[in-house]
Amino acid sequence: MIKKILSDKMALCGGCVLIILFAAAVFGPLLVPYSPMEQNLSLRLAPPSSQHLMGTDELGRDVFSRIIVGSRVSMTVGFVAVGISLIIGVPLGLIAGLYGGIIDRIIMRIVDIMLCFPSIFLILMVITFLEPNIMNVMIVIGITSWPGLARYVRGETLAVREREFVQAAKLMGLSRMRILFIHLLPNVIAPVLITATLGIGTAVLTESILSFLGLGVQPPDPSWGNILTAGREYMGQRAWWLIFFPSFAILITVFSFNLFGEGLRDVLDPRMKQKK
Amino acid sequence: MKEYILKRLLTFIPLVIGITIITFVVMHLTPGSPVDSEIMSPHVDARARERLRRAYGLDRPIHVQYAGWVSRVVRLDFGRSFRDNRRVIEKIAERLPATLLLSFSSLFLIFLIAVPIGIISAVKHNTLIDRLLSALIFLGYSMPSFALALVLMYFLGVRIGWFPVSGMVSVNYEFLSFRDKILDILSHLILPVVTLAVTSLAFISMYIRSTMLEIIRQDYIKAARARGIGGFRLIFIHAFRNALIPLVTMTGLLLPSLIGGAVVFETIFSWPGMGRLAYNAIMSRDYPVVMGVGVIMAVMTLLGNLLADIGYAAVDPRVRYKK
Repeated sequence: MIKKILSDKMALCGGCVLIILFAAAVFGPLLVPYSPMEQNLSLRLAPPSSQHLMGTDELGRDVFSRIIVGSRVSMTVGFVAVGISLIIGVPLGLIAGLYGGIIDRIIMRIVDIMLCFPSIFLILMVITFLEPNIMNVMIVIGITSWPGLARYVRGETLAVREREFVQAAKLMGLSRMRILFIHLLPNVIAPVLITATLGIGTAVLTESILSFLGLGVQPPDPSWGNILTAGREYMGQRAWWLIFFPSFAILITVFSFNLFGEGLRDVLDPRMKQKK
Repeated sequence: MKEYILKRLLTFIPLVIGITIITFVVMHLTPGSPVDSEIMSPHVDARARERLRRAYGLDRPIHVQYAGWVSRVVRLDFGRSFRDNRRVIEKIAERLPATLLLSFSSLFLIFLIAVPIGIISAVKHNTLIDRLLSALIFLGYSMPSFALALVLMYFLGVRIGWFPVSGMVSVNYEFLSFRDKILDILSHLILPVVTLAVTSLAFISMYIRSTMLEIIRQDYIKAARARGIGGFRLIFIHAFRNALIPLVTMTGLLLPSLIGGAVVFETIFSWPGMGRLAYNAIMSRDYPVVMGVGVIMAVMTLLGNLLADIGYAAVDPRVRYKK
């Protein structure tokens, strides 16, 4: 499979950038030229220069260092939030698809109702009542983003359920749980993996919106979103670097997760490839 | 057809009930009671606090509170705002037109651009143009549109000064002639509409492209081609018409993201619509307004989907008989 991924251009490009981003998130904070918290009030809102590659913010802190350290926040939120939505969405989708009937109808109604609300609205509604911190941001994004996943997994399960090998397993008297784990789960893993990869990009984006609105990572801790908040505030002072660089960081991250996800789709799901 | 609409309307009812339950539960189970923010002030003594709780009915069990709330909601009575004591429905009604203007303009822009892009990309499949367009679409799809909003605001608004960066009208709006009033609103509209449209635009283009690719391979297109029909007529009359049908449903699916986007973009651009009302209400814990906007937004989404489904059934009889 790894060989296949390497041969897919999209997956390869996306994957390479992601590896760099991971490295930045893991090792970056140890290597950055300045402490992301270190203030230098004599150098407030300095434009990019050889000392400060991406300029400094309203308190004279190095924007480059803050963006690198901020990548750790974004990555963590992306993975954990998607992890939470997988833990809720996949079992519910499998159960709905396998059991059908009233259980299926109840779960799918809940999904339908949840999907009626614009997700950002639900997230805002819940998060204002909690402490604004990364932990809560991850939890809230996770518990509001499972419905789409559950619906998707249910669809895949329904398709697999009718296949001969599952019917055969049923005739052989396998219990539903065994069918679920041995036959259904492995068959939905590939599409779930793709959806999850694409979901990480969305979660990263949501976190940055929340932090931008002041409901996510709180200053002085750096995140891409709250650097943008400062950028908006100091727009009049023409501090374009406070807007441009964090925006670019978010774009690159979301873009490479999407690229990797689509590449993964080509590799794992040959049916889709024909369509393209 | 009548039967189909009736059936759809029946499924509508449990969903609306579900929407009210979720809104109510989220607002009431999250830590912090609705009157906490009002009575946090140390000047309010315990007796007054208790009186206030009773006034809002918070001393009663939760299902009783819910029943009371819902019986008022069906009459579109969402209570009064904690902030200015005005009726919530009035506040929403005066903000709704601005939001509708924003979302319908975006919808218009989305189709105006996505349809040609999708079609060209499909017709010129695997050529340089297709690859370029596809790359562009993919980039647009990954675009963090709220960040793009800031970038555009900075470069086109602050630096070049082409467009105003906040509000819906200028300060001197009252004194403008009718024609200038429209131009004024238009110039305020451009940046929010563009940023709101970007992601969905990319999404719809991708969708049109893949649908058109499928259709072009169908036998009836080959047949039409064999009959000597070609070019414009083949693409638009024979192929695109069939892509249009599922597009109706896609539009329904766009609604939540457009309405949800309104919350973010109206806040960024200080657009006086329902989204900003929601954001401000959430930030100031104005419960009746938050619940009112929540229910209205969700029901609007539901209605949009319902209309899309009915439209689908109207043009495609197979849907009607399926269930």
